[in-house]
Amino acid sequence: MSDAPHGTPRNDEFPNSLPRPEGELEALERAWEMPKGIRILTEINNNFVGPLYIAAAFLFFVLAGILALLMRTQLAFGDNDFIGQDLYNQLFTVHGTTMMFLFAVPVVEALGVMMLPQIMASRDLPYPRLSAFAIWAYIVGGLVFFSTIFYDLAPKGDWFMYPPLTLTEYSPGDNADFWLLGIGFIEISAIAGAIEIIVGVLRTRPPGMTLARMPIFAWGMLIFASMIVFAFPAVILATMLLEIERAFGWPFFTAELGGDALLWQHLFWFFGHPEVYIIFLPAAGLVSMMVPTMAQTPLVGYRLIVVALIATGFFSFGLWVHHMFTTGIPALSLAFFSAASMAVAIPSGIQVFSWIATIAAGRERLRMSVPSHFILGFLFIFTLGGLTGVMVAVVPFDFQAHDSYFVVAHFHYVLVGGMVFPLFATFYYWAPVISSRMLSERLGKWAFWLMFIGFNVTFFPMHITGLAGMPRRVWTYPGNMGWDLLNTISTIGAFTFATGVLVFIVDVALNFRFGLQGPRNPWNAGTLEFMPNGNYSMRSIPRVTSRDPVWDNPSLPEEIEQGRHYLPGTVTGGRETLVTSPIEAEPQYIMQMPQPSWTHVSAAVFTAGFFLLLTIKQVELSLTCGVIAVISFIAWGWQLDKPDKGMVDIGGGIRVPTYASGPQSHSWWAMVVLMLVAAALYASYFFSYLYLWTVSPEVWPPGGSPEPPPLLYPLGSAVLMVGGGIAIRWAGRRLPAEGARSFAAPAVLALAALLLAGALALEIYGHLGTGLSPTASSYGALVYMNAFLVAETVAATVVLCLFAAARQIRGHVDAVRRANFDNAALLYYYTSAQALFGLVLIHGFPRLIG
Amino acid sequence: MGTLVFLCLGPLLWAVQLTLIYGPQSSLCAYGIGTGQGGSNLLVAGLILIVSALCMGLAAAALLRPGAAYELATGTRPSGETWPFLTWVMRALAALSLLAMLYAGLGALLLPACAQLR
Repeated sequence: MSDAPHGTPRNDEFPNSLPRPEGELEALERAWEMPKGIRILTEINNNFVGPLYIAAAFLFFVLAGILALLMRTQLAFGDNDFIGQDLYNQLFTVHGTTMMFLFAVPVVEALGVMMLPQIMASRDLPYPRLSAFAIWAYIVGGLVFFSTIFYDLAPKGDWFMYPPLTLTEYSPGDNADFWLLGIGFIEISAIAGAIEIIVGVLRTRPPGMTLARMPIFAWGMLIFASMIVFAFPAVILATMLLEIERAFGWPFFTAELGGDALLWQHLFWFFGHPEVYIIFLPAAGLVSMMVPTMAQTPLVGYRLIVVALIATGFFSFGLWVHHMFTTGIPALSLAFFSAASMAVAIPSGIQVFSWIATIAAGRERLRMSVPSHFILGFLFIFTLGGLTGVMVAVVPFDFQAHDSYFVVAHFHYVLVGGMVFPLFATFYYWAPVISSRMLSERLGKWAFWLMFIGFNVTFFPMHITGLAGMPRRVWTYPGNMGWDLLNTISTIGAFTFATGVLVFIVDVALNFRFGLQGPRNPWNAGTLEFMPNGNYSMRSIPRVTSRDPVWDNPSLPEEIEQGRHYLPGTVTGGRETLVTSPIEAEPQYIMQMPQPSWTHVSAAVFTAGFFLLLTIKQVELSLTCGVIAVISFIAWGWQLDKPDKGMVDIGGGIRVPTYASGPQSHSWWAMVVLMLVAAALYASYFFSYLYLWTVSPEVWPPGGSPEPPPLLYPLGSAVLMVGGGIAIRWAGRRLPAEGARSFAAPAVLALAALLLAGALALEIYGHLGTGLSPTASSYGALVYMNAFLVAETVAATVVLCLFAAARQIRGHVDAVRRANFDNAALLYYYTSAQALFGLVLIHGFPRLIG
Repeated sequence: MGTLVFLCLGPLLWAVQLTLIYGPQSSLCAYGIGTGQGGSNLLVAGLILIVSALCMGLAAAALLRPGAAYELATGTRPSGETWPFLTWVMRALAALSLLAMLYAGLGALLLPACAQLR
């Protein structure tokens, strides 16, 4: 709230006057010019990577849809043998996994990456290389994962991969490993995108776009990305535990050695339920953007919708056990989660009523364009899905419907209604932003009606099929169960739906022409995304004074294009964007942005290679890929943190710096979000430790396992870490003056890194000395898992400390240009804090209970 | 960051309540500490009611005294043109969270703490 601007423009004049200096626009275009030929792959700008990301996600939607058609063909009538059981298991696993992990989340992130800079009038999001890395990693990893279906290597444990079915005894071979390593890796890519979106929304809004004026899509994306930060680490930890158990026999899920298969369900659904809302909230944001435009009136209940989005984001984390109502948990526990399931219905309802009220309050009758059709379809389908959601939130009903086709119908109504229909509305609505031609209204309406009718014909009968007793995931069923007709109807519906999607693809092929100069504001939207744009987004950045700036100032597009507003050119000579304060959006500094490069492509390809080769046990090749990936990351990082270019004028008398460090810097924010991810991962581990102790206290010391090593070991580790932290603090105060070099501070950084690694080594050595084995019991596995998690953060910290030290030696870090040092120091403090907590847990808890 | 925490005070308290009632309830029931006939457990029920009352009280306080809550979360006094919006959203979220906490806490009065009931 206290972020003071360096100057304030007078309201009665534009920040910049006309005529603009000769060559200003050309310099801006030059800075943001897309590379040509094969070098287009090095481009990182949102106007290239966004559409690429959307196209890749849509490809996965189509591929997973084809798998669904195969399944529906198999189920069209009883006793069918079109597909065998083993392949059917692979089909539904890859279908669900692809739709959830390779389509739904990525396509939403893609929309964020592509559209947020347009909506927020920024040149680009703050870490475009990180976005590009995430996208390439996702494309490579996703394609390899999907291709397993062609080689009989696809996983068979459904998209939630429950153990004990997925343990080596019941799922031998590499199939499950492709899921565990492949999806774990793609989750990391999703987290990279989430960091980009959080910092982008909070720090790159135009001046005056306070939180109270932020477009609802930006709110939706902010909450979506924040949920990823807290939800995805749980499933990453789960996949790590299961893969380690499969590969090395550490018994986290094996009951006879103190593990528990239900631990997987807790961790998976702590991610899996928020995942539903992770998919829905941005879609709700999209609807909240389109409904006011189609009704030509401001959104009714803006503040209520913000409340609803935030509340849904939070409450969705309290629902995970509602997927586990039938697992034997005490009734009162179920009541807590049933209550949360009821509570989350309130904010969802608020949004639905707000949209209906906006339509009713419209200045004109709702324009029945293709986006409106899909939005109305969404309202109908999603509301039905919400109602059956309340039904399955009632515990006794869930006992009856669990694992039946009723549940299949429910979640398709929620997911397809809540996400796919708004997405298709968005395709039609926002296509003009990146296409020089509109998509066809006629074909669009055909696509809608085929999809709407096809969807309901497919999934509505499944409610009845489920209530008639048909279980999920069966590859066939006896023809005398009375399920044949309902299944035949569902299959006809599925092909009708697919025909609708095909019509959309034809429409895109006929009418979509990639280009940034499409029809200007064809729907007369009030927000900024339809402003005249180039690869640099908008020519100049306006001061926003309302939620619908274009409706309030119809001449805004011309003013922006003429360069009358802030930053009409490039003040540093390269790619840059304006960074503003997170709450009031006042200008703070100019961020110098990276240029196109091969480094992120190489990092993505070799990171994917590392994970995927590990899956097929090619350890040497995998490690080689890992080393190349780390080198690529270092080369990438070396090109960032550009030197200060002094104060610059952005117009309206506002002068801002071209460098920032500490809490004002965008890199500090990214590091803080990254630490939240690491903390969420560790919190999941902490939960796992306590959970398994609750389940199997008999394998804990002193009775079931060797006692922890003498206190001298953890105390020694603690002293080393604290000593390293003090050294880092000392080095931070003695960074050389601007432009000077120093060798003392880098030496201290290297020493601190060494102390941290020494602390970890001492901890592991202590446990090895007691004879504790990670394969003997869940207790041993958890003790060494703690060391493994600490080792991960220690490795990252050591690399970052050595990187900062090398940058100092080369004269790229000093008392002013200190972002590299600050990032290393922040991660060091976090790693030490996590490791110290771990020492207290691992050494203190067994003594406490013993 | 402090402002974002202020905005989400209600849901954060709801998360604290859920953690503090679910964790101990599961553990105490698993070990049978305080469990009586028919799965009743006064220790668990009492804990749930106390935690719920505490969290709901704090949410209600934030709802009634947003200025003080803001100072507590950020260390600064409220200012800026966004303050009315932030207050409104915080209060509405706190009210929704109060309802959610009431839903969850009521279970302790209606159900035996450790019984399966099937």
